[in-house]
Amino acid sequence: MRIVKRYNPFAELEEISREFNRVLNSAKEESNNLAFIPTVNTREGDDAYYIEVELPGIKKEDININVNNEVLTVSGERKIEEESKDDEFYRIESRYGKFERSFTLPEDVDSDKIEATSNNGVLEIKIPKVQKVEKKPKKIAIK
Amino acid sequence: MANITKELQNVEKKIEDGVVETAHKAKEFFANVARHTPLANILHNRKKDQFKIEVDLPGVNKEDINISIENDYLIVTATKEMKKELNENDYYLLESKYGKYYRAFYLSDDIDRDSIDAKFENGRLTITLDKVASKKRRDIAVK
Repeated sequence: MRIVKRYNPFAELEEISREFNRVLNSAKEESNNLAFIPTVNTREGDDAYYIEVELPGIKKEDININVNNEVLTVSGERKIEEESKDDEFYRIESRYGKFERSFTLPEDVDSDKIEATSNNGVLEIKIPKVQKVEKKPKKIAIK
Repeated sequence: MANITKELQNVEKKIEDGVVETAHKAKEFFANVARHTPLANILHNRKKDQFKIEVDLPGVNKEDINISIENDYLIVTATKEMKKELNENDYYLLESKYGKYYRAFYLSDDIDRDSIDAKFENGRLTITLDKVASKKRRDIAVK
C-alpha cells in the first residue's frame, strides 16, 4: 500500500480549472448561487458504479441526493454550526453555503437500488448495475 | 545519407530517454516532499474566551491524525489513504488528494497549552483552545 501519492504537477492546474468553472457556472446560474462545488471521485466496480463526494463539516441531514431523468444530483448546504453562531471568524477557508454536483448515469444502472453511506465526511453513493439475465439460446422450429 | 538519418534518430532516442528518466526521478523526489495543506478556519468565541481551529480532513481516519505542540506551534499532520483494495487507476475521475497533510498554527502566549481539546466529526477536526486563566476576560464589579 502506498501512503505517499505520486506528485502530479497538473493537480494545481486542474484545481484552477475547476475554480474557473465554478466562477463561470456561478455567473451562469446566478439564481441558485452555489457557494462551492465539492471534490468528487468516480469509479466503476464489477457490480456497481461509485461516486465519492467530499463534504467535510456537513451533517447528513443537510445533504440531498436525487435522481431525475438519468441525472443524479448531490446538493445541500454547509451551515455554520449552532454552537459557533456567536463566534467571530478570524480566518475562513471552508466555503459555507449551497453546493451542488450532478452526474449523468450510464444506461445499465438500476436507479431504484442506489445506496449512500457517509463516513469521515465522504459520501459514497453506490449505483448498482442492472443484473443481466442470461437468456438461453432458443431454437425456433420451422413449421 | 541513410547513416545520418539513423544517427539522428539515435540521438533523438537518447534525448527522449534522458528526459523520461529525469522526469521519473523528479516525480520520485516530489513524491517524498509533497504534502497537502488542508483548509482551516479559526474562530474566536468572545463569551467563552475560547479559540477554535477547524481543519477539514475528509476521508481521513481518526487514527491517522496527529496533533502536537512544538515550540509555539500547534501542528496537525494526517495521512489520507486510498481504500486498500483500490488504486488510482480504478478511478475515472479522481479529484481527492491522497498522501500527507500538514498544517501548523502559531499559538500566542495567552493560550493554555494544557487545556487543548480535539474532536473529529464528519471529516472535520475541531480543536478547542482555552486562554490561560489569568488572561481570561473578567468582569469587575463596581463597588
